[in-house]
Amino acid sequence: MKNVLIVDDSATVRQQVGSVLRDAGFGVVEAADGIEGAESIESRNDLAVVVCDINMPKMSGLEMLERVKGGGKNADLPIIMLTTESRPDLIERAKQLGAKGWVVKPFKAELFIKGLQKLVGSA
Amino acid sequence: MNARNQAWVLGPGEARTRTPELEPESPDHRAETKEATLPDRERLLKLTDHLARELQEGIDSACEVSAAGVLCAGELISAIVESARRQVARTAETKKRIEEGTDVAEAVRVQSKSIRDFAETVIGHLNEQQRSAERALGDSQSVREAGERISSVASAARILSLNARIEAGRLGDVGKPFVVIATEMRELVADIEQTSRIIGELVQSLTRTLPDFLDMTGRLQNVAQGFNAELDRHVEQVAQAREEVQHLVRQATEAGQDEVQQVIQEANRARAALGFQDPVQQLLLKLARLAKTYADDVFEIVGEDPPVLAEPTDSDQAPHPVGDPLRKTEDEPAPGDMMLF
Repeated sequence: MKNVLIVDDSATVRQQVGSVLRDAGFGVVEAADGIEGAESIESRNDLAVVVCDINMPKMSGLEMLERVKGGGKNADLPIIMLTTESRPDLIERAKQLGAKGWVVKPFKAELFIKGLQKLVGSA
Repeated sequence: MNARNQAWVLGPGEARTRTPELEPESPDHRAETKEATLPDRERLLKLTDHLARELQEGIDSACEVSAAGVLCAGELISAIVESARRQVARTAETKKRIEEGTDVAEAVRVQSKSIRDFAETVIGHLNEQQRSAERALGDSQSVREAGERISSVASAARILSLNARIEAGRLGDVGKPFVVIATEMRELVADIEQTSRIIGELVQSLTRTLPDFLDMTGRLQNVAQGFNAELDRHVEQVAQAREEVQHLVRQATEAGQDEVQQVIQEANRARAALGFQDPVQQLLLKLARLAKTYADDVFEIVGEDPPVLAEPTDSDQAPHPVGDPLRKTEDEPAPGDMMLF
């Protein structure tokens, strides 16, 4: 079973995304901000993909992306941004930092799962 | 909001001006505002940026509420579906147990038939014994009559032997052999009378016993026949009850399964509809449209060209382009869209 790390400061969003992922057969790991997310990525070997919010306390999603892709452990892990933001400059910035995808909230479950499966295969 | 407004942020302690309405202003008012001085323009831009941030926070909060609502509804629907599935499983288990019970009833009915057949055999034997007893009763009557005739013959022979002894005594010595014969004859007669008496007593005893035996045999036959009749009634009742139970089980199972299937279908339709009928999502789209309209007006007032922004959509079906919905373009995505790089 493939595990997905959800990084979002909203427990409700983590719960909703987690529910959709579990229904699709994925395992779920959660982090409440960018620092927790980065630490999870750097300490675990069982993650297949990361889904990350942008606007978070302590460390934003783009800052976490920059840290992870900076050359530490699991730097190749695919990271998808899940956010209410839709500004082209933010999307371009994330792409340059190494993000693999961008989803605008509120997300559509079926589309979201299809995208993940395209990225990492089935659960 | 455009990136160029990002630099204009209300710092702490700055007074907030009157919040403008999110409505397009009249042409006259726009003309007057165009003549605003530079400080007013900067304040307007700052205000616009502040409103944009507040709008963004509002959208974030609304998304959270929407997500919570969708999550709760989804969990409720899942609980309903799970409950319906458990009901189906319980119904199937109950049906199985009832069928096992009716199978036991059928086995009892089959064994009851065996018992009935045995009772019929017993009645047959009792009938034969009754006929034999009646024959014996008839024969005993004949034996009694024969015994009476023997007794009368023995009485006559006794009288005859007495007369023979008397006549032999009259003859003297010449008649002595006849006395012996008469004496022997008397003893024979006594034996015959004794035997006849015994036969008579036996016949009397038999005559007293046989009617009781016949009466008991008759009662046993009645009991056996009554038992069979009762058994037949009970077996019939069990068979009818089994039929009724099976019919009721079939009806209840079919009705229950139909209702459960309907519940599951309705729940699945509701779950699918959650993503497409979210009123909060519609509100977010409306807010985005209003924000764009307001931004256009602000830029017109300050005399600058508004940035080219993607039009917010008012349909969940659009704006997925034809082909792969996972677009790989740099256009600003709408809510729900997913881009892969």
